[in-house]
Amino acid sequence: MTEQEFTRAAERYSDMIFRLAFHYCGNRYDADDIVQTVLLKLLGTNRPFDGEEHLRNWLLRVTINDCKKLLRAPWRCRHEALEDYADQLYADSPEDSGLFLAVMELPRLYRVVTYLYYYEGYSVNEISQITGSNPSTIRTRMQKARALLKEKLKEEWSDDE
Amino acid sequence: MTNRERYRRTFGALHASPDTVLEVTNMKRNNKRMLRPLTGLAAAGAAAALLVGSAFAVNEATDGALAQSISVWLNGKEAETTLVSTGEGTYDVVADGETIGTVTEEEDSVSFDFDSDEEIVDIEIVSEADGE
Repeated sequence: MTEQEFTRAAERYSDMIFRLAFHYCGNRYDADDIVQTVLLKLLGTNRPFDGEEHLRNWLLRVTINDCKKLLRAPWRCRHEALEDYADQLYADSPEDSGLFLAVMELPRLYRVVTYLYYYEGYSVNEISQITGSNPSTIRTRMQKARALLKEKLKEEWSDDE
Repeated sequence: MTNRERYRRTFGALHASPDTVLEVTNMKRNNKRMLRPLTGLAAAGAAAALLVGSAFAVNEATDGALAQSISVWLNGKEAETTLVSTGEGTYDVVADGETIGTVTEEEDSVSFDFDSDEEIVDIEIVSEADGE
């Protein structure tokens, strides 16, 4: 990968990597570390990519794998008060803070599927391929995540499919 | 507003640190040994079966020279492997897109520390003395 190709890919996907890692790790410091390790792997790979979708999916899979590795060493994990972070992020839109905190209170694996589904727009089958979990497992996690969000957010979270 | 729209608006506020991409690009520019495709040639006696998590020194295998590239077999297949510098004489060993361990240059030896869920059955090391 040329430096130009890498720079373009990094600019396009660094936020995606960060957001997925944030959902997985639960804090921005580990998420930033994951961005760095994933981008280093992108820089170092000789793998040819068959288009943007292939690259994107590869980055998501590597991000998940790196997050799993990080969490195997809990002494390395950092924690932050998400309420403080939310106050910073949503100073101008406090209504978003409620959804942010509700999602981040979900179990980790539920957060990951909700991010891939609601933010990145992947289907259950696509999420299954990215995460390596069965489609039925993904569906179950989605159902439980939606139920928990509905319970926390009430009318602010509408019933969807 | 749909759930999806609201979700995207909320989490669209999250961004990676702007320094991260710059740091990675600078790391590449400053390190010329970072990326080497494998050629699969073995240094004498360097192949070893490893237990996950074990570390060992391979000074004998490389005759003290720095290991320039490494061949790794995971689950019976040769993995696409590169060394990625992480600074101060330490390199991540990346096989098939996943970091499986680290290589550290020490004063008169090279040490390896591997931690992988997959079975590493063989490693071959190409030293600077052997070339590619």
